[in-house]
Amino acid sequence: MPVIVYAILDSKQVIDASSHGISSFSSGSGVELEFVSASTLTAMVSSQSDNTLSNSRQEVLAYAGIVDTISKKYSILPMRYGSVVASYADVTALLEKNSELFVNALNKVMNKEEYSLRLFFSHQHQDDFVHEQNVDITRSPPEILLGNTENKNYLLKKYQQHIAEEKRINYIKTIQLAVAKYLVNVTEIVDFKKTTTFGCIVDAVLLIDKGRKNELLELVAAMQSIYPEHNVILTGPWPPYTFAQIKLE
Amino acid sequence: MEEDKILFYAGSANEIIEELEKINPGDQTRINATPENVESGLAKLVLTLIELIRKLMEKQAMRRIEGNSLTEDQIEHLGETLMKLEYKMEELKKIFNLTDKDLNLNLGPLGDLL
Repeated sequence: MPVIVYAILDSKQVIDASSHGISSFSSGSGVELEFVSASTLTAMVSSQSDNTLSNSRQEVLAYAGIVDTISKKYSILPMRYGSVVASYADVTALLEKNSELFVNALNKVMNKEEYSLRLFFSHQHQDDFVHEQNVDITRSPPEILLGNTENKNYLLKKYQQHIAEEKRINYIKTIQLAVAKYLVNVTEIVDFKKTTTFGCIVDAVLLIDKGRKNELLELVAAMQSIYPEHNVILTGPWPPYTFAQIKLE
Repeated sequence: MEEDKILFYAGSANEIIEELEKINPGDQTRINATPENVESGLAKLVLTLIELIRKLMEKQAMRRIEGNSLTEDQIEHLGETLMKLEYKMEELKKIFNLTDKDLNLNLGPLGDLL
């Protein structure tokens, strides 16, 4: 019977789990979760009747919802949707084989929560920023591109776009450095993701100690007042997906 | 996203939703090849790679312009080549009914390809 794995946690957190082998936990979503323990680790799992795993958005969200519910109660390593093994014995084998990896990763996220922090250009400021750059760039084109031929005009346009992009990247780096300096007051565990849209200046994920949420909120509010031209958005707490990535054996 | 997960936001909610949708564009960045549409799925993949190489060539050209290492003839030649490449890409996108948004791939933790 296939078994879906939702999370790995330290057995000490689970009352009775290590001594009884399997006990249960209500996820609040109708799925009955069981604890499967091996040595110092416990996996939270549910069995399913068939081998098929739906790929629907609804199923993925339901899975994420269960992981989220567990993370509110325990410090966990959240598993990804599709973490399915063939039997309870395989769950035990998974825990035993990867014990060291799991323990190290768990130590990293123990009593911590993940938050997402994003800064966007407000649409008005985005237009102003582009306009300012265009005025600046058209002032001093490289001499070799002057001459008013079709080919040179094309290259000049490309060059201006290139300079605008470079300036935007430098601006983003400056803001990211400032944000990192701010965040260091609550944590040093910050992962800045590559920004993928023009409007996104900062896309960061951070791990903070449980109980420091209000400090983080105050910090974010202060950040917003320093950068009124940008929109700050803070979400969380999330299960520590970003900081609990491990390669299983 | 669950509302209780949003702890702080500033600005217009519509603007933020619009930006979040740009960051997580969903299915449109996937190569969705099936037996029925294998031709357009493959075209999307190939054109994405060509577009990546074209953009890299453009970047390299800009570096050379910045380095002031090109003669007048080389500049004319470079401009013509890059322009023709861009026009050709536009033609190919039209043939396969693809837009700039289609020519991108999400590489997970590495971000978008283009």
